[in-house]
Amino acid sequence: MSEGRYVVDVDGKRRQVAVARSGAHWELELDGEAHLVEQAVLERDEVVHLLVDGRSYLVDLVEKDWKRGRFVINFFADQIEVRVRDELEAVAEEITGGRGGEESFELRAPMPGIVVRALAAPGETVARGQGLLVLEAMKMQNELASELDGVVQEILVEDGQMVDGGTVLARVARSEPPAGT
Amino acid sequence: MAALQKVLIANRGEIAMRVMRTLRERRLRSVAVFSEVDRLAPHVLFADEALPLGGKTSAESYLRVDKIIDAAKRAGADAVHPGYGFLSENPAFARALEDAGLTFIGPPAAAMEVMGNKLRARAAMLDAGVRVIPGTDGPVTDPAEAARLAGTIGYPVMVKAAAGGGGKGMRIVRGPDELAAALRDTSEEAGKAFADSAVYIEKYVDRPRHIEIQVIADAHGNVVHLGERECSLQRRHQKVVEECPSPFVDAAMREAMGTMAVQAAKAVGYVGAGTVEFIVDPGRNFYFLEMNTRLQVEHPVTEMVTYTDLVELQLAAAAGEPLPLRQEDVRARGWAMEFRIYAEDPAHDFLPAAGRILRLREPVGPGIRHDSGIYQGYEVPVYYDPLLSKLVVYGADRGDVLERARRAFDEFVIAGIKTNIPFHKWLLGRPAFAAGECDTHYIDEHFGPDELAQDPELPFVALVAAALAYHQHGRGVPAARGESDAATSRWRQAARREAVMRRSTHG
Repeated sequence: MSEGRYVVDVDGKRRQVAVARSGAHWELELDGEAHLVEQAVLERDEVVHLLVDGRSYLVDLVEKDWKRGRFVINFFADQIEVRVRDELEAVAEEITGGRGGEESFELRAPMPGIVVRALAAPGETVARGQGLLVLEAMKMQNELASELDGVVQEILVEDGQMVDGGTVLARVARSEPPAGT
Repeated sequence: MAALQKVLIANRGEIAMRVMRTLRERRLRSVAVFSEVDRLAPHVLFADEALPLGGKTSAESYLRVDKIIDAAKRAGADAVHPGYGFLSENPAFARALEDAGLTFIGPPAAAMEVMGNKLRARAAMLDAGVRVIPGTDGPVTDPAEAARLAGTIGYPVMVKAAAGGGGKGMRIVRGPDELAAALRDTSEEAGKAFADSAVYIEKYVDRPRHIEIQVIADAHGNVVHLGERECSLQRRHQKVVEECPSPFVDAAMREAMGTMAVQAAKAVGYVGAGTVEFIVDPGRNFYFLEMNTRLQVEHPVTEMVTYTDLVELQLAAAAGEPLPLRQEDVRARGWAMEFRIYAEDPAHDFLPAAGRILRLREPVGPGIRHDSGIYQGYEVPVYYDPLLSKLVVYGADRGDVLERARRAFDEFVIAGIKTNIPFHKWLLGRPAFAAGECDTHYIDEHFGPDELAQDPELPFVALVAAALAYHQHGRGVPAARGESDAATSRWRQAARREAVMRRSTHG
């Protein structure tokens, strides 16, 4: 298989990664340093066991968004989000000023719950981290926030509505960046 | 009373599973009941029979006396085990069962009534010679009288609203000059909050420990105690770790507390398993706090150390059998610790975290017991308590247990929802916890989200896994089937079956 070159965002850092097949193994070059990886797939796209330079790691791919290259990876008691992009794609995004960011944000219910109330209305400008609505689960109220600076496009649920985990609750579109950036 | 044949469990989650396991060992049939959202809950899948209650909330289902009695009759059950929570301490439920000709696996309703009322319990304990927290036996209004009483009790004292509870409507008073204001403020606040301005005064125990005694009684007047449980590790009054024995209790103190707990149980004509809670000051003075008239969440630590099955003892007591053991037969060996696993996010103020459990790998191996109410793929509902399971770790001594617990938490995977596992890992790294020195304020004073440490290898491991997955997926490579991949399917099956997974400790 041909080599792939990627830009990976993890733990607040951006890393350059090259992946190539090497016989029964994978060669992975990370910021210029080579690692030999042997992979055993216990459950496709779900559970892999990695031997990285002989070190043993059992890893769960908890959430996968293949299109955007977004993953939530579980390693025993810890989870972390990872974003993988093709190098060319990442370069293109830099040029178009996307800075790797999304153009829109869908607020999904992180757990099943009951919508207590919306905190923002369609058309309203919201900042990243600003609450969009309050969801109640297990008798606790949780404020769910926007991950984008933008404008609320839609609030898709009503107060008192019961929602399943993963339900899209609201959409926010990125604010137009000021000209010249 | 006839031997029991079929028992309905008026509960859900890990405790329903726990009770059913003993029923199965005793070859008794188990009947589960379930709400609308619990059709796929583990207790329903595990039971011999299961009946729907309808409704989603507890109030519409597990708290409905009429529905549960109806289910028990339809199933032809002869007894009902209430578990803990829900109807377990409701005397009206016990009476209704009795009226329906069903056996309640718990104490007599009259004993529950006395112990369920703070003032009645206090009066009964005083009569029985059980040491209660020094305090006024009724409401206090006159400041001069209050000052005299507080002086007799000894400062610091607590001014409490008679109708208060859950940490509300109380004030600590450290000296006589603070008393009048505290009396006035608490009374005013109580009047507003509880529509009852009555307040009373009791001794305030600084740096308290919460230690409780397990008792078991039969219907023939025999009561024995099974030693203590240390439950001082609490987060906002909610227990998170319990152990048996207590690192704070020696043989003489155990004997004294046990004797007093037996006295308390006898005073109310107790039958079955119960727990007498004591508040203990740093000088090892202990005072009766309350009696829980049910099986406790933390009962397994007593079971591991005393080699008993408390559910079995409950069943025998409910069937009218005499206690199978005398006080001198009770032997304790080794050490046990219980860690409560909650669906809550320790990084975000312990917000509850319902949702689907995408991945579950339970710790196994020496000294591990996992009383669980979950499975992989199970969706934790929003309607009930966030307790998922209890990891019980036992060993020869406390040091063994701590090392085993650390190892067990390194193996433990619950992915898909947030749990307090990272919190337990933090706790296991605290010197005060290792030394057994934590009082009930320890967690609230020392824990914050910044204390949580992620595995230093996590970003690297995640990067490798994600980059490889993306690389293969993006190209339509059948990642799982790559023949040149080193794993054989047999190896994979074995790994999955035996969960032979080891946490990498290098790096």
